Amino acid sequence: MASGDLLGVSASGVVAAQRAMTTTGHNIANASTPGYSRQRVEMETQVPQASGNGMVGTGVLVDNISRVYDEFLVSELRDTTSLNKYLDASYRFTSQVDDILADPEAGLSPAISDFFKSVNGLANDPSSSAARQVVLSNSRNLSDRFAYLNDRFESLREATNKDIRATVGEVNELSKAIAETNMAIVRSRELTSKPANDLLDQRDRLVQTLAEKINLRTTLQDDGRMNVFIGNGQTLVVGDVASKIDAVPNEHDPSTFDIVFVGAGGNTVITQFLTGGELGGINQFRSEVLDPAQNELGRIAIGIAKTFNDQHKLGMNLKNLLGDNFFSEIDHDAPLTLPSIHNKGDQQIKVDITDPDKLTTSNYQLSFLQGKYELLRLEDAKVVARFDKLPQTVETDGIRLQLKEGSSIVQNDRFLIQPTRRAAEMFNLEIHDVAEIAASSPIRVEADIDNLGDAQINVSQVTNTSNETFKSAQGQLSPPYVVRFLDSQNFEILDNSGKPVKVRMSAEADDPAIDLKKHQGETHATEISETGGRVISETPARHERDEKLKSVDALGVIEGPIAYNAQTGVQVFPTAGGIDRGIQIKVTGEPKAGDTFRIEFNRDGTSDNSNALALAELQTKPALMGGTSDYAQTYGQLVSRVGSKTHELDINRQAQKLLLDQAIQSREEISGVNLDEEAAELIRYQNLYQANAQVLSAANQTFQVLLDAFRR
Amino acid sequence: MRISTSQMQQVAINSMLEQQSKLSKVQEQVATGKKISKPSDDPVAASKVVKLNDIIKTADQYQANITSARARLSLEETALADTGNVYHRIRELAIQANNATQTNETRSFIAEESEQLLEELVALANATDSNGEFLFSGNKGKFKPFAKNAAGAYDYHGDDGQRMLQIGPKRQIAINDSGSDVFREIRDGNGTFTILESKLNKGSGVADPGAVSGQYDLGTYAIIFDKKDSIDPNEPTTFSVVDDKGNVILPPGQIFNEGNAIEFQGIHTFFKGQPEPGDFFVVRPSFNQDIFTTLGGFVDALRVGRGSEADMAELNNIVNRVIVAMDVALGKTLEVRANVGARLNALDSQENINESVKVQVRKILSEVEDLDYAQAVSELNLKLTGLQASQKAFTRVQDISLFDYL
Repeated sequence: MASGDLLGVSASGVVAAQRAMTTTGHNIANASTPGYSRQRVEMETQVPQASGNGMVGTGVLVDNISRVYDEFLVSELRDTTSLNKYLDASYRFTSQVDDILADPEAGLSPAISDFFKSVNGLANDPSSSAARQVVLSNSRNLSDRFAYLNDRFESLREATNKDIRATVGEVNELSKAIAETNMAIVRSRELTSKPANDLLDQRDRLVQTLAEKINLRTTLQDDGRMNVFIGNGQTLVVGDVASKIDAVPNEHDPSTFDIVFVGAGGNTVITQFLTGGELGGINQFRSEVLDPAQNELGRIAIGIAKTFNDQHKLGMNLKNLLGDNFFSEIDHDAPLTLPSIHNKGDQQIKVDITDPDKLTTSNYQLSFLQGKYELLRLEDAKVVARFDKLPQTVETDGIRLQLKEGSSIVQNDRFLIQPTRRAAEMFNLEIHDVAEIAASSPIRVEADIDNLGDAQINVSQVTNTSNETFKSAQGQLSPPYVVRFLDSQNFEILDNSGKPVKVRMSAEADDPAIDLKKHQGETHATEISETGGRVISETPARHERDEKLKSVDALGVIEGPIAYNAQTGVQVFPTAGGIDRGIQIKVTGEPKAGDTFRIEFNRDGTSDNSNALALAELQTKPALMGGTSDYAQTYGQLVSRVGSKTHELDINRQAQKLLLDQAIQSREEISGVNLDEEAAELIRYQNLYQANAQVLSAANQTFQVLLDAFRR
Repeated sequence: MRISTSQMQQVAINSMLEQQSKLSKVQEQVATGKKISKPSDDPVAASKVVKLNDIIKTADQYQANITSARARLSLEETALADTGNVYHRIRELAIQANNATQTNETRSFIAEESEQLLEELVALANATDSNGEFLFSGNKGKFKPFAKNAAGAYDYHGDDGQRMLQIGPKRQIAINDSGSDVFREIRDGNGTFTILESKLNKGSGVADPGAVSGQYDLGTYAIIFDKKDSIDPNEPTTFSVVDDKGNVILPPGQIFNEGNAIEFQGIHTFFKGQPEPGDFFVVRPSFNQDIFTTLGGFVDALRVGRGSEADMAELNNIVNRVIVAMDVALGKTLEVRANVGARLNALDSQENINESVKVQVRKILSEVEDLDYAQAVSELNLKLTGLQASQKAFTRVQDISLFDYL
C-alpha cells in the first residue's frame, strides 16, 4: 500500500471539502439574490485502483456543482408573475379612474344637479336676470366639470402611452439581454461541458422580468438556448438574435398607441394579443375602462346638450325670439370618423348623432367589403348595419353616416368611428347673454273677453318650432290663428294674420245704456214703440259682436267646421284634418256660438316659465340608454361600473397575489437558500476539511516515520 | 417543508403590510365616518348613494319652489282680501247713494270716496312682488297690467298666463291668477243677463236686476211699455216683449203692475216706479265687464246733477246694477281667494310629503353609507393587535440563527 495513495485520497478530500465550502459560501452570499437557485456540490468516489487485496479507494471527486431547480416551478412562477403584473397595471390605472369618479366634489353629479337647480330657480323667477345669471354660471360650471373629467381621462391616456413607450423600451433591452445570455450560456457550456448555473439563473431572471412586461412563451433548444415568443407567435428571441417591438400610433387614432412587432417583413400589430404583463394590463385598462368611461362621459354630454338644446329651441327668450342652441351642437360636431392610414379611396365620412337615447358608448368600425359598407360595433363585435350607399341612418344605434368629401372607396377601406369620445371635451356654453335664455313658451292662447261660454283654451306642449308658423317671421306667428265656434258643437280655425281681431278693450265698452241713446236716437225709440221693436237688433253690444263675427268671417279658413265635444274637449292643434304646426292646443269646457280664441306669439310674455319648467324636467327624464336612465343615473351607472371593475380587479389581483406568493414559495422551497441549512453544511464541510487534513497529516507522518527509518 | 430564509422574511413582511393596509382602511373609515370612500369599496352602494343624494337634492329644490310659491300666493291672497274690502265698501256706498234722501251734493261726496276706492283698487290690481313683477299681469310680468288710456278707461296689458311651479315629482301648482281673470272677467248684470234702461225713458221705472228662472237662451229682448190710452191717467200701463229679430215674445197689452213679476224665456224681473209709455228696457246676455269701467260709470253717474223722476230712475237703475256687480265681483274674488287658499294648503301638504321623503331617504342613505362606529372601533383594535403580533413574531423569529452559535 502506497502512502502516496493516502496523500492523494486525503488531498482529494480536502479539495472536495474546499469546493463544497466555497459553494456553501456562494449560497450564503446569494441568500438574498433574487432568482438565485441554491447550488449543491455533487461528490462521488473516484475510480478505485485494483490491487491484489481488492479494489482500493482513491478518494473523492467533485463531479458537478448543480443548482437545485425545478423547470416546472420556474415556468409556473413566470406565468403567475405575468398575470399578476397584468392585473396590477390594470388595477393601478383603473383605481385612478375610480378615484376621479369618487370625489363627490369633482364628480359630475353635483354639477348636473346644481345646473338643474338653477334651471328650477329660473322657473321660479323667469324674468329675473339674477336667476338667469345663475343658470349661465352653473352651465359654465357643468361645462368645466365635463372638461375637467375629460382632462383627467386624457391625462390617463397620456400616462398609458408614456408607460407603453417606456415598457416597450424595457422589453427591447430585456430581449437583447436574453439573447446575449443565451450566447454566454452556450459558450460556457462549450468550455466546461457543465451547466452554467449562475448564467441560467440570470436568464431565468431576465425571462421572468420580461414576462412582467408582456405575455410570452419559451422553448429550450437542445444546445441550451432559450427562444422567446410573444403575441401571436412572433419570435422575440431566437437563439442569439433578439427582435424588437415598437409603440406606434394607431392606424386610425394617432392619440392611441399600438404595439407592433418589428419583423423583417414589416410591422405586425400585436396589441390585441397582449393578454399578460404590464403591456397587457395597460391595454386592457384602455379598452375596457378608459375608452368606455370617456365615451360614457361623452354620451352624457351629448344627451344633455342635445335634449337641452332641442327643448331650448322650443322656447322664447327675453328678446321675444325663439331660443337658440344653449350648448354647443356636439351631437353634430363631436362624432369623430378616423380613416385608416391604409385607405386607398379618398372618402371621408361624417357622423351625426340622431338619437342620444339609442346611442351606445361603443366605438365602431366602418369597412367597405364586397361593394357594401359594413358597420361593426366594436364593444360586442356585432355588425349593426350593412348598406350600399351613404347617407345612412342607423336607427338602432342612434347615428347617421354621410359622405363628407371624396368619391372613391376601395375594398377593405376602413374607418374608426368614435361617436362620443370628444363630446365631453367639446361641451360648451353657446349662450352668453342672460336675455337669450328661452324660459317662456313662444305661444300664447287667449279666450276673448266677450266670450259667452266658459270654454278654456290651453297649450299642452310645443313640439316643434322649425316649421313655417314660427320661422317665417321673427317674434310673431305666421299666421296667428283664431278659433271660432260656429255653434256649441262646431268650430273652425281661421288665419288671423290679415286683420287681427282686437280684444275688446275697456275703452270700447262704453256703458251700453249711453250707447243706446247715441245709436238709436229718438226716431228709433218712436219706431220701437210703433213697430214692436225691429231696431233693437242694433243694441250696441250685440252690434259689436256681430261686427266682430263679420271681421272674423273675412279671414281665411284654415280648417273647419270641426266637431266639438264638450265632455272631453277637443284638440285644436294638431287639427282633426292633420295640420300640425308643432303646437298642441286644446279647448275644453262649454263654448257658445261666436266665442273666439286667439293663438298668437307670446310677445312680452317673459314671466311665462313653461319652457323653463320643461327644461327643468329634463333632469329626471329618462333620456338615455333606451329611455331607462336620466343623466344622473347614467353617470351613477358609470361610477358603479368603474367601481365594480376596480373592485373586481382588486379581488383578482389579491387572489393572483396569493397564487404568486404560492408560486414563489414553491420555488423557494426547492431553490431558496436557508441560512441555517447552509450553516449546518458549512459545519459539515468544515469538519470534512479538518478530517481530511488530519488524514493528510497522518499520511505525512507515516511517510516521515518511513523516512526517519531509512535515515539511520 | 423546506423554507428559505428570505422567503421566511418575505412572508412575515407581507403579512405586516397586509395588516397595515387593512388598518389604514379602517382608520380612514373611522376618520370619515363613512363605510365607503370610493365606488370600488362597494359599487352597488356607491351608485345608490349617488341616486339617494340626487333625490334629496331634488326634494330640497321642491321645498325651495314651495317657499317661493307660498310667498307669491300669500301676496296675492292679501291683495285679494283688500280687493274684497274695497268691493264691500263700494257696495255700502251704492246702497247709500240709492237712498232717496241723498242730494246732488251728498252724492258727490259719495262719488269722491268711490273714486278714491277706484284708485285703491287699481293700485291693488297693479301690485308687485318682491322682484318688482306685477302679480296680476299673467305672463307679461314686466308690464303694468292696468293703465288708464286717453279715453279714461283701463286697458289690460297683461295676458291670461299662469305660471306653474314644480313642487313635487308629479305636482305643479299655479302661483298667480291673471288680472284678466280677477278684474276683467266679471259678468255684468246678475251674471247671466243684464237689464239696461233706455236713456230716453221718461218714467220712473226702475228695473230689478232679475234672476234666471228656468233656461235663459242668451237672447236679447226688449221690454216696451205702453198705455192703451195715453190720455187717461187711470188706464193701466201695459208692456210687450220682442226679441232682437223682431219676433213678438209677449204681445202688447200685458198689464203692468209695480212690483209684479215679469217672466219670459227664463228671465225673471220686476219693476218699481211707473214707466211711461215708450219707455223701454233691453235684456241682453251678461258680458264680461272690467270692474274699473263699472266703478267709473258709478262715479260718473253719481256726479250728474239730477232733478227729475226719470233722472232718479236712471240713477237707481245704474246703482242697482253696481250693487249686483259688486256681488258678482265679490263672488269672483272669493272664488279666486278660495282657489289660492286651496293652493296654499296644497303647498303645506306637499311640503310635508317632501320633508318625509327627505327623512326617509336620509335614513336609507345613512344605512348605506354611514359607519357603525362601535363595530369599526372594535375592528380597529383587532387590526392593531394583529399588527403588533406580526411585528413581535417577526423580530423573535429573526433573532435566532445557527450562525450565532458558530
